[in-house]
Amino acid sequence: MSLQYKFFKKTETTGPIVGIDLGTTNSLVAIIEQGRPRILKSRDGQNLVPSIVCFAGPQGPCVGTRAKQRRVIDVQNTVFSVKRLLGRSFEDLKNSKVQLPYEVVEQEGLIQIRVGDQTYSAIEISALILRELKEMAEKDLGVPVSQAVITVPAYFNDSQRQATRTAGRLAGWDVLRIINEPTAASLAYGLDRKKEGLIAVYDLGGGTFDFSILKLHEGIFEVLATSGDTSLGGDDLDRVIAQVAAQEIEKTWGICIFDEPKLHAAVLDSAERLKIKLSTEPQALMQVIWKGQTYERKWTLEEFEVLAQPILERTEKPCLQALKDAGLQASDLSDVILVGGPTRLHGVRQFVQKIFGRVPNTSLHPDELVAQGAAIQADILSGNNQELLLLDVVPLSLGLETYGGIVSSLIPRNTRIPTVAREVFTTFADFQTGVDIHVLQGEREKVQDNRSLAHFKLVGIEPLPAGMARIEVKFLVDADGILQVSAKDLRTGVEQSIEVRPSYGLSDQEVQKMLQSGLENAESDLGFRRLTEVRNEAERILRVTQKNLPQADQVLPPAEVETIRTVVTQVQEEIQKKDVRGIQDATARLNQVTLRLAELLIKETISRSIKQS
Amino acid sequence: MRNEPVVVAVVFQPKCFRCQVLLSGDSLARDFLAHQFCSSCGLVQPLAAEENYFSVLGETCRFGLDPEVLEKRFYRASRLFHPDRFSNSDSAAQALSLSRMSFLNQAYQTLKNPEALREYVFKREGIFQESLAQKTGQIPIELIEIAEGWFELQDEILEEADSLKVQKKLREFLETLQERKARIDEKILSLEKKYDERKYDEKNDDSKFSLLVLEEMAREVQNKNYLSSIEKNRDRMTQNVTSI
Repeated sequence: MSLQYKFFKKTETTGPIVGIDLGTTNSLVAIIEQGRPRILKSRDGQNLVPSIVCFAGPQGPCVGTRAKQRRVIDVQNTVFSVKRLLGRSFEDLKNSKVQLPYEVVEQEGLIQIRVGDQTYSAIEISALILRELKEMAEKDLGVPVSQAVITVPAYFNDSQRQATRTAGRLAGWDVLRIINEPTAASLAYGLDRKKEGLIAVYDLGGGTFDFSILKLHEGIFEVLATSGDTSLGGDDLDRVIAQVAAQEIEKTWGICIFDEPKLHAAVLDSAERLKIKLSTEPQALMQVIWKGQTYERKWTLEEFEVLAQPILERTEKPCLQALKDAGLQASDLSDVILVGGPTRLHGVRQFVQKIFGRVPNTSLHPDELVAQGAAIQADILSGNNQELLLLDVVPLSLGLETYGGIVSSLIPRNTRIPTVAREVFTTFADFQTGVDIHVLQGEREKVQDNRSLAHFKLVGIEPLPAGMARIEVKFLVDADGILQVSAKDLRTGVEQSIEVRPSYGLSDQEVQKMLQSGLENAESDLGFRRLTEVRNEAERILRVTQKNLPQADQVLPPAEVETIRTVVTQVQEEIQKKDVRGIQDATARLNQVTLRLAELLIKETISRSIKQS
Repeated sequence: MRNEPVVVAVVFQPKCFRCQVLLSGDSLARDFLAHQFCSSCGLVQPLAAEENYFSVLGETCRFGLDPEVLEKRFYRASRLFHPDRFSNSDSAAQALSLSRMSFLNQAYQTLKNPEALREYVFKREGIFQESLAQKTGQIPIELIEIAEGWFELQDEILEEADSLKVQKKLREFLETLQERKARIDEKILSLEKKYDERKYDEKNDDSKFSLLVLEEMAREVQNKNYLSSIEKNRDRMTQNVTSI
């Protein structure tokens, strides 16, 4: 059955659709030709385009290989690993231990990169890389290219996804879809093998780690669970090598490399080259030449693997979490695919083998799989490929702040997308016309421990007594994994659309911690939650009691009214003390002493309404 | 599916939202997808008020669902509704795809998970845990006794965790807990069967009966949750006590 119905065509599709792997260290573009993915060639005939921008090359700004050549000689003007900054706040960066040789400054809480007398956001730098990729694709294909599928780490949050999409738009791309890197890789894996069953994708990239479990069945690629760490990658392996070099250089030369941007860049550069050499050779030489001095050091694979071990161990927890979320054992998997340059390392392969108790699949090209998959998804979107379909999930739970600083979960992690959740809000005070809504992403119970995605206000609510207004807010996570929010007044039917502006606000150091600490801290969170619940209940009863106290004088004997007043004070005191038991007991007493008052008031209301009718 | 009434299509003949072709008049007739998708023009149909998590997956309201059948239908429907299939379509067609696919995803997620499924059925039939507690009283005495036994045992553990007597008592307690939970699960399962069997027997009006079955089930679910909370508490405790 053909599903390309002319009836609904927006416009005739303009030119080919490409798939882009926008990586931390390297980027690639691919396209489907005769049903097979092909990686497009850069100006200098390479598959990989270094994700590096140099603002002051001899012939003006440049991107890619030429920029990489200037990384060491022109440190101040060369920006790399910008994906690590994308969609993050300055606060996040301060908390992560990332040390970059280029200058990063704060501007209204956001990260700006200073180059000369100009500052650029991470989105703008990414856009420059994406524009280079566009020119490269047009040159290779010989036609204008404007539509693309761009990949992101599966564990990217909403802000990071939005930032990626914005960068694409800035670069002149029509971004048809944002897809997850491990999911894309699975498409490339399953394209011609027509493999079936449960597979795992272990994706250790330049700056991010993703782990996804999928079910492949008759062309359907269904993600069962995903997890990861958005600040863990090959960069960290370079850094452990650089750390050793830094210590040794300081000892012999008396110079701290972090005070010398050029030296810092040179050390990072040779650390990366050493790491790549060690993926094929048992030993290699690291060499840094700076101001006529030469630093040399021989590294053995074993030595490097010992240092890499703590970094690799950080990938184990996300793997086990995803298996648990999917309700699977490692032995249920029929294959484990490796994605990302660092997975070439012997130590990584061994570690993966240890986690899953099986030899991982090394027959694939770990650098190109993601771009190939993005191209396949582009082919699916163009309507050419009707066989395959991706069914993906949200990586992190979405929730709302409720009374008392607690997050109420709205869309749990690993929910299939697109998905929708509705929540009805009401007003707390009489004639209130606005309601604040705070959307969060993460696994913890307390607001401050999660990533703040957006604050927004519902306005223009009809002024009514407290609790009468009914505003339904719809939270939709689209197929890109990006949140859209809309609101509707259920009484008037008036719709209100809200744009969720990413707040980049809270520390993202926690994003990686969120899942694991969500479990570790469950207990203290529960204590806090319990207190808030008890307090909310106490405050509710207090409000009602205080509202009705004036009438109490007319229906109750003075002594009884006095008792109620005493207990009201007791409840207030207990709330101050923040003691769960105390609040509970006092609230129970208040309930007890107001029983007769409530009864009398209800009776009176009923008799009044009977008289009226 | 056995006793599902098949008369709906005759009484109500929906047409495609856009091209006005009769939706039940094509090759997909009698298929659960027929009303959800126009196979003539490819438009995903808007969600109708009478549609629910069961109907979009070709099911009637029941518990004994076959996961493999559900999965097959979910995949088939996904192939038709998913936004990836409407990348070149106009925005109205895209919006319809988005809303139906979201609904389908939720439906599948709910029907696949026995606990979520029960919650959904309770809600559909107007059974709420709070009002149920008022109507039928609280947790049965014997379950409360289990909880009390657990609190006593905790004290003993704190005093002499290593003593053989306490270890033995703890093992016995855990066994009782497991055994009670298994019994409740069995009970819930038999109630689910009962509900599934009686629901579509049209000779007798048994809506009242099936409601009673659901209420009983809701009570058992409540009891199960109660035991689970003891179990959670135990998990936290046993982490502190070694050699269990």
